[in-house]
Amino acid sequence: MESSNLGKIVISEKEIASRIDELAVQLNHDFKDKEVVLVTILTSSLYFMTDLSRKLDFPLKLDFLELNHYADEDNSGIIRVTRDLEFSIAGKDVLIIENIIRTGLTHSYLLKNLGARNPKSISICTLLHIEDDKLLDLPIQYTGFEIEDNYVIGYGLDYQEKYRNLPYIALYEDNPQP
Amino acid sequence: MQIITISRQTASGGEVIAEELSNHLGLKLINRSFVLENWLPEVADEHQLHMLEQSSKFYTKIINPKAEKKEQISFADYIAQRLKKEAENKDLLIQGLGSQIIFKNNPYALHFKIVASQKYRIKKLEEKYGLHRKEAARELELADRKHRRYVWRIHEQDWEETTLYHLTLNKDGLSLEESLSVLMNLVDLKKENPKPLADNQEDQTETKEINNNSQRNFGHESEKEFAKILDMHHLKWEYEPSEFPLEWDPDGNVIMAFRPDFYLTEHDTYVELTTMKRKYTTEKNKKVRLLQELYPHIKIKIVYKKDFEQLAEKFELDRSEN
Repeated sequence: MESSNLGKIVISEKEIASRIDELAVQLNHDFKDKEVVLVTILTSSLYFMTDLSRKLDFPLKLDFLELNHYADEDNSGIIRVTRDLEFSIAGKDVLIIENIIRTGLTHSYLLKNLGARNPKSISICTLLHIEDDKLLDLPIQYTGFEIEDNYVIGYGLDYQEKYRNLPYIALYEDNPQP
Repeated sequence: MQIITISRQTASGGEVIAEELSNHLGLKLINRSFVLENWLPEVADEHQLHMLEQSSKFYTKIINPKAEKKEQISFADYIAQRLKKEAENKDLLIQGLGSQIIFKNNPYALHFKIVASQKYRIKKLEEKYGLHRKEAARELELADRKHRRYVWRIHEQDWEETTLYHLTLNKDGLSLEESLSVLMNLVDLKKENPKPLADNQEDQTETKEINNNSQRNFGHESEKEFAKILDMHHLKWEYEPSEFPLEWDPDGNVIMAFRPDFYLTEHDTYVELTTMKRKYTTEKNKKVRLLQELYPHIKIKIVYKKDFEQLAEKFELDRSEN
């Protein structure tokens, strides 16, 4: 593992596991006997989804959604769904599994997009949440950790596709000390 | 009042969809049988009723030939009048009767057409009436011609014209439940945005607005960039739409006001960009604080230089997906 830009560990592997256990208890209580579609936002949330979903004991379907900013001809960079859900979510309880919410811009689009498909409910469970005042206030029901607004990597989060497979969350150092 | 019209090809499953949709949404179902049984006997004798059952041409006959010319109406006019009157105080689902044209300009009307492949329809007729394939095909040809002729004779419109409908549903490969789900979703969506099918005025305005937004003269380059970021996320925004008075002189004249840069309509939130020097930021912060004191119900967010640079960097370099 290249580690030149790897900064201080902000959340350890043990802390992540322990918090996921707590979140699972809460989710198992809130979604008891409900028919839930667990929508994971690719790719950064995969580790969180696999660790969390194995602790959930209500009936669920796993589905995946990928969003990307298109660099089209006019370079508008509009966000679009590049991999859509496999299942219909109409009339279902939807639990979005996300790794990090920063500005709320992407998630505002996500809520609008999924909301148009008439689900029974939509809840968001994010592992990380930037504690600063965000641009958009979105309803986020489940949060793993509140963190400061720094660039973080690991446990699914990348810098140019690197560091995703770190088992912990660390700071990304732009200009590491030699 | 909610109006749904359903036009359907014979044996496409449209009749069942109309019936189920009216049950699901609690709409009164009006179709040709209903009109023949309940409305037309009020103006037609037995022979005329028989003819109305058989011939589309008969609907153009005048009901009241003895009346003055300008008061004369045809059976088709009578049906249209009754439908419009009924729609004044009832939610309706109307199957056929040229209703997609009668209510074309009604903002609360949704027009659906149900079609299916020849193969699907022939199979349905074979199953339902035990017809042979050739007989079923002939029956479909006659029925389609009858539909087309009725709409053409009465309204001079081509029944096949796709723009008469908000949605044309091909029943091939769609179950009844799936078809209903699609239609009910659209009914739900249009509740908050009623708009007549024939009115393209608003579309033109929308297009114009989008063009204007991209060509708008912003006060600062960062505002243009920020607008681009909002567009990238499909967020609806207005540029400097409101000014809030903040201080008044003893005579009640406004001596200080504040006009936030953006208003995000779906989030009911104002946004102020402060990408300039610290001196101006302090001034802006003061104004925002005053605004929050005087108008506590107004939601406002400040995007500081650092936040903006992060956003700009993220979307230019696309260094992260979150």
